[in-house]
Amino acid sequence: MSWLSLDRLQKRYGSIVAVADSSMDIEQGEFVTLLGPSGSGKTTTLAMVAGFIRPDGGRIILNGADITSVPSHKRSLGVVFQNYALFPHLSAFDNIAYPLRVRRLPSEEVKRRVVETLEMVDLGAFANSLPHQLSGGQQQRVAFARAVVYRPEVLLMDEPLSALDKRLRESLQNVLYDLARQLNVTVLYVTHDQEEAMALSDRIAIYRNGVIAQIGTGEDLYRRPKSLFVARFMGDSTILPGMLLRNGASYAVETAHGVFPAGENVDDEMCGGEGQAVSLVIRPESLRFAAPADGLPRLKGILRQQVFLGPIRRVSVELANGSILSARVPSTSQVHAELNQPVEMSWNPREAMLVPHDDDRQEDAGKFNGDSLD
Amino acid sequence: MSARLFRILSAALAVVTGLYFIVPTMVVFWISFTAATELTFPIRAYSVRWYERFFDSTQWAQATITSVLVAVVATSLVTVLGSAMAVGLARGRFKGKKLIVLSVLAPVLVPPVVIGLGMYVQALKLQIVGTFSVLVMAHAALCLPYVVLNVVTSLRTTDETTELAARSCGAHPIRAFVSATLPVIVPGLLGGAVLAFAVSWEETVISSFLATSRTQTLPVVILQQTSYDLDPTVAAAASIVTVISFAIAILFAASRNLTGTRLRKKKNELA
Repeated sequence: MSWLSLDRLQKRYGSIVAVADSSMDIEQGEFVTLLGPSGSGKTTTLAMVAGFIRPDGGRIILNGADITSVPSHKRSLGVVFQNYALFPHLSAFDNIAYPLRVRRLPSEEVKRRVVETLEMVDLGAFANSLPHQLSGGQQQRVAFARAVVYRPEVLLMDEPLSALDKRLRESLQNVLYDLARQLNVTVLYVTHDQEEAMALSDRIAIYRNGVIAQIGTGEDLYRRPKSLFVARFMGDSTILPGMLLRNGASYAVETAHGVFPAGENVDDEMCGGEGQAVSLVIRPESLRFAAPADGLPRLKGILRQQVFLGPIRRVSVELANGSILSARVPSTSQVHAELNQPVEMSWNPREAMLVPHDDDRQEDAGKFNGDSLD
Repeated sequence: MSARLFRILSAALAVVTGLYFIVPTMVVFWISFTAATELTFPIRAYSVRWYERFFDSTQWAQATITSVLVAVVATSLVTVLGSAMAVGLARGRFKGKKLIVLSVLAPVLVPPVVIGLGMYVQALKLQIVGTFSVLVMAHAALCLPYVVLNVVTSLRTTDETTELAARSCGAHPIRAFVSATLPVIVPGLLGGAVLAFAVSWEETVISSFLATSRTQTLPVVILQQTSYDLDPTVAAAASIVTVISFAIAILFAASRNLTGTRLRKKKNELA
């Protein structure tokens, strides 16, 4: 049996459904990230696990016990908030000691564990500092220390790094990654940043409109998305809308740019069979400058930009219908075209991904990263 | 106009304004030390006989005790109730909140004579005119806005997620409030309490409606004595009331600085 189970969690606010169905099973020591655009239900789900919000339906099972109606302070939780939420009048030491003192541990024990935890987050020298005397990164490390000092059964983190600048965020990602695994604590982590999710998590649950669109490892979601939404949310891509064709044993997609093989992950159940509206998704790193007669599927266009970025070259190609295809090719590969001259980009058909047509992409339009070519 | 001249002029204006407010008070102080039996100045001979008279008189002693007791009880009551109300108003989301805010502010907006009359009529009906409790209740109602406004203002500087954090650390919601929010609002709470005490201490109009001879407060007795005869004991009493009011004002200023000083001290210890 899994360590933490969310069983069909639901939350409504009046007529607005914040969470329609949140279900997942999490193993002990697993790091699971809830990823999604704002308003997709990820933070509400976290708040229900924390006990800050009472679900309208469903159950939360932790370590074999139903904690759905257990108040927050009686769940064994650690919570890290985006804005740190430290006690402003208490020193770093007293902040971290708080959960131990609430649990009436002897003062020797409190001191030993706080000092140990301060060392763990590399803040041994700041025990007596008040929160406002610490930098944002240091405050968040104090908040992390306060959340783990009593070894909670689950650690919940709500966008803990999004108030920090990019460089600090990346270095703290490494700190969080190492500490979470070193402590072997079960983590539920909320973010809207898919790179952060991939950097930290064992598994990622992508939320959309209050339901989990897909759950899996970062690579699963990136390479084998089950929907256009997931494909786009996990990273940039070139998207070719079209119609599914059956070609003997294999499938192909008829698009405005030609007919292309449909990749490997196609089955009737997923795409609804021949004649269905689908999209072919090609990641930027799958594209190459086409070699003559290499037999690979290809798109023709005009080379508009190619920028050397060290390990890769960023390439923009304007296709016949005016839309832009973006590619990231290894910088060691040959450039077969001059700027503003015709060029052909090819890809390995096994790396292209097929997803069903998405009806309501309007509402999430602002959150998409990919350039649609329709 | 040169900057220097402007500075001198504005300083002079400040002094004149200050004098305008303080001179009438100073005159009362001055007269209270007269040796004569009338409230007249300038004074020819000085004495402290009217202060002796004040401290010897049972009527004045009774009024002083009543004033202090009413102020202390009303302030304590209103500090607890007003803080609770402030938390509800600052954090709660419910219908009719604006109406409640308006009704809390009413004592500041409605003329004291109107409030006094209204309370008097009701107290008559309930047959509680002249009791200690009705004075305390009336004063508490008057003091409420000062506590509520002060505490609401300081609650704005607090962060509710800190309380959630405390609860996730294992603290009962009440303990979470006490350890996460209360320390931050204590200066505002003290400030509100000091203001409430001052309001109760100086309140005259409503108390004159509700008090009988047994329960008259100091300002009521001063007002009454002034309209009967101009015995300089009144000036002595007024001076005592004023000194205490000033002491309260200083306390209020001190309570505003409380957290600032504490943080600075902590900082110095670390340096």
